[in-house]
Amino acid sequence: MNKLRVVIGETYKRNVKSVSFIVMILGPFFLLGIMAVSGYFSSKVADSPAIAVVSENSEIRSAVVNGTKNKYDIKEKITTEKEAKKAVKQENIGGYLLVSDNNQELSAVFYTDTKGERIDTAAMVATLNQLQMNLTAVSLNLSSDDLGKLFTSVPFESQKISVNQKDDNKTMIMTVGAMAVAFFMWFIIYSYANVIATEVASEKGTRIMEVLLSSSTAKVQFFGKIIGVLLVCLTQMLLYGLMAGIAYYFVKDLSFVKSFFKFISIKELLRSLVGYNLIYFVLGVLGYSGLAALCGSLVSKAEDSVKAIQPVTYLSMVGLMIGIILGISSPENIIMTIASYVPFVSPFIMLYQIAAGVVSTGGIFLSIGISLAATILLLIFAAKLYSTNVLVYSEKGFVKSLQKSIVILKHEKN
Amino acid sequence: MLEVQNLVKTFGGVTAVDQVSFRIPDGKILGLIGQNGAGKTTTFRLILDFLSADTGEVLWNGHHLSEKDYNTIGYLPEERGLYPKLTIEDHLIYFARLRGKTKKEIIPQIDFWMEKFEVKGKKTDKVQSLSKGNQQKVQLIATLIHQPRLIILDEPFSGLDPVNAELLNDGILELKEQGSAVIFSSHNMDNVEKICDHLIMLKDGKMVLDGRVHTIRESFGRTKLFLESLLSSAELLTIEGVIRVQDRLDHTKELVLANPEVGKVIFERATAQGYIPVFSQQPPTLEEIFKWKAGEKNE
Repeated sequence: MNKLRVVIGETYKRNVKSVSFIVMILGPFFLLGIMAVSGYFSSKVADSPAIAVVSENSEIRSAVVNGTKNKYDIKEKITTEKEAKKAVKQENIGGYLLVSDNNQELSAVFYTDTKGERIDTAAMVATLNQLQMNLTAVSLNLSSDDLGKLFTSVPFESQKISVNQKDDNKTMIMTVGAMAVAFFMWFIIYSYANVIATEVASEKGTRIMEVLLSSSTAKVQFFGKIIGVLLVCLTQMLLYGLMAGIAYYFVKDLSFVKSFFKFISIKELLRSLVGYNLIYFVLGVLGYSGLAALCGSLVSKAEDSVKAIQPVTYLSMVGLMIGIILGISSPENIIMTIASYVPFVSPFIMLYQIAAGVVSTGGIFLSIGISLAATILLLIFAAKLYSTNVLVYSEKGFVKSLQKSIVILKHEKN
Repeated sequence: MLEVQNLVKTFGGVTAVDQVSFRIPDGKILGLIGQNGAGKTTTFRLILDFLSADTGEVLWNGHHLSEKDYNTIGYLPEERGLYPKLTIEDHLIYFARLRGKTKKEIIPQIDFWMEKFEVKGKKTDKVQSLSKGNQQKVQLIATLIHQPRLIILDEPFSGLDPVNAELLNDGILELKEQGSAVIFSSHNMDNVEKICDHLIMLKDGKMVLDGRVHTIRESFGRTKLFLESLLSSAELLTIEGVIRVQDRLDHTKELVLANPEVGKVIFERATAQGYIPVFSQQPPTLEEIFKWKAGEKNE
């Protein structure tokens, strides 16, 4: 037990300190950062272009300025047409609005530079219309109440009639959740299968393994390695969770984030991520970790580890792809149903079936049972084979090494 | 005390180790020689329980090796490897902790051992920044720092220059003094002759030599003679029982004799004319014996 802790601790420490871990953690944030920065700049340029408002009637001018200043960056110091023309030439402003008042009838012209970017005039038009309406109302002696009545709109609402008994929105959220979990699981498996296999293969390649095996059992090495790397994985997820929490706190007031969460409730989203999704996630990651360690122990050099984890890559890819292709469009497809019970593939598939409500609770338990049994069997088998694998140095490839290992294992009586 | 009794190990149709038996009392050193593929590494792996024998057994202090005994083993595999990105210190601490030592126990030892093996570099240096020879020393330290009682060294001298080989010699002898049982393999017969109490040669898994180095050599008879005298090579070849005469660079001649008795005849002939500076009749060297044995056809 003590040595298992030593192996776990060392594996964890070595990996968390490594450059690749830091890159792996920060990678997505660099991407998000670049997106955020470029988004910020593009929105700033597009959203509030600099203009000037010019009118002989200063009351009207200030009414127009007040009505439009949250859409445009209005240079209020510019009050005459001459100044405005100059400012356009110097490219200080994108254009200017000239409003003239002829007996309470407004007319306006918006002048822009031919070279300059197009400026959306909708907000100006709306403000001018509103202003004209108020002026007309005053001239007709209408109260603001009357005006309000004139523009009362008919209540209009669109509502869906759900054919299923189930809540359509909830199904959608769960399907999105299933897909997110499948993608995330694949990402984690792909990243960490590589880490585990490289760990094992490099220890084998440098013959450190032999020293390790003379100081503790193969089981201790095998499980210590897997648990150590999974703790690294957990660290990454916790860090992401923490950062997501912090990020949510800062962006929760942004309009697009608000509209997203109006559409999908955060509670529902979190609920869809735990439960069965979590069980399948853990099963998936655990099973593939064992497979990755087994694969890594079959090759002789660290450089071959990428080749070695091909079974992991392909198998997880098959699961992910079936899910993407059929999971949303036809979750009740026969291929989906079968795949939901196949170990290693089922974690990617069953989630869609659960989301669509096309599988019974008994079916879910059966699938979890099969997956769990397969994972445990694989781990036991891999741990057993590990002790002989690490002594087999073969350049003949994966299958040959596996055969040789099994032959040796059969010869060993214990 | 390590006792190895009638070990047999086959892989498929090949017998890698065939009826190998020996014992190493505490405080003794056993040298294992043999050509590549003779079964040395397999023997080590059988001792370490990486592989289990078809028949025969390995006893350490009277019992089979168990997990508890791992803490008292020091094993240096044939091919060398370390974690390149770890510092010397972290490396030694990790390996010592796997042998049941605590960090506190090991840290004070590190300086002592680095000095002893004259490792160039600081203990905070990364292993990958060290030269090959220094990496090898770090690995040796990792093998010995937890003061093992059973030390298994697979080709410890390979790649070491004579100065470093001497350091290793001293290190091994010191552990022997402290009562550890040592087994090592080597292609360097010089080192084997210097430090071994007992020698075993394996060929195709079988023991072809077994005994004290001195006894083994003597058993071949003193059929080698180094001579510096006035006798010419032609004259020497006329003596019955002289098989071959070879001139050496230092003006001596090296003679191969049919049997040790021939030496007496030559001594009389050579000294008949008075003083001779060199007359040294010796058994064959270990290296020569090794080559003969390796070249012999299997019966």
